[in-house]
Amino acid sequence: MGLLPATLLTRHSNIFYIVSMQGRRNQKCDPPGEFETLVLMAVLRLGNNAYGMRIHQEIEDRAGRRSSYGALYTTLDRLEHKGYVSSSVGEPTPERGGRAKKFFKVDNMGKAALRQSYRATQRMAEGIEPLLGGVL
Amino acid sequence: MTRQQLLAKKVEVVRWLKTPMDADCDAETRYRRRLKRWGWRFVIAALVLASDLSDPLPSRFNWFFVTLGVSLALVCGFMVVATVILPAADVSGRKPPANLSNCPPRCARFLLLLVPKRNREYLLGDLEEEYLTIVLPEYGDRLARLWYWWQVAISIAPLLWTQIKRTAGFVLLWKRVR
Repeated sequence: MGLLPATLLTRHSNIFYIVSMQGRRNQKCDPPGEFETLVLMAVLRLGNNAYGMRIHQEIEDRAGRRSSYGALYTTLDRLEHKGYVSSSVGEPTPERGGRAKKFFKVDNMGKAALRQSYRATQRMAEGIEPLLGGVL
Repeated sequence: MTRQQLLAKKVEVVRWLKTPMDADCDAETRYRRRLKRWGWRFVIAALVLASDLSDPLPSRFNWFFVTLGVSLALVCGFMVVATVILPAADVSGRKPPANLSNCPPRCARFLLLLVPKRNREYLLGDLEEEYLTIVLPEYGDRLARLWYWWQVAISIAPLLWTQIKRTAGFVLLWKRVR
């Protein structure tokens, strides 16, 4: 009877299940990085008109951060994989040479992660103004 | 020849130089001619490569057949790229604009085939939209082309770096196993 749990744990399927569940648990707790936060905010700000070029411009205009389209799409893929954003394909337009747009939308999980990240930044920024010379 | 005639001749030559190659025919014919030209160049390069490598290298393999096989594989790969991947990726552009100088650089678009397929079309579309609507009217043809090349370079650089690391890893692994 005492050997039963150990026997169960050594089964390949059980080990695979435990590792995958652990991965999923870690994934849920994974906070967005700096660029991921910027992308999430840009997508949220643009609403229904959030596609690659607009997101790229929004980040460049507001945050002053220049990035490549490759980096942007890699980040959006990662966010989609984490479940923070979802995408849908739009209609092809002539100004894009007949190519379709990929629209992005922030999901509830993404909003929660963004809220958590924003609160953490706010808490860390409290009382820091004097240390930075009074201007924040 | 008078000065005016010389000037007219000069204008004519400049106009001829500025006319893009195969401008007289439609996009499909132009695309076919380009494929044919590059196909022949590729076959000749592969044959030269095979003949150069076949002679001096002593090895337990028969290098001639190895290089011939590699060349044939390259030619077949090129044919697949030309007949299947390029039309599928739509590198030539579905709607060729009337003024060809407005087109983004074709070689740069060809390089974008290295981008993963799931995002390639959207990335190409975004780049083309920004190029045509913002960069080209604001900075002109030359700077806009430079911008496009820069964007392609910084978009594919991380992907290439990953491939290089992966290949280096495989080489090290192969040496270790051998």
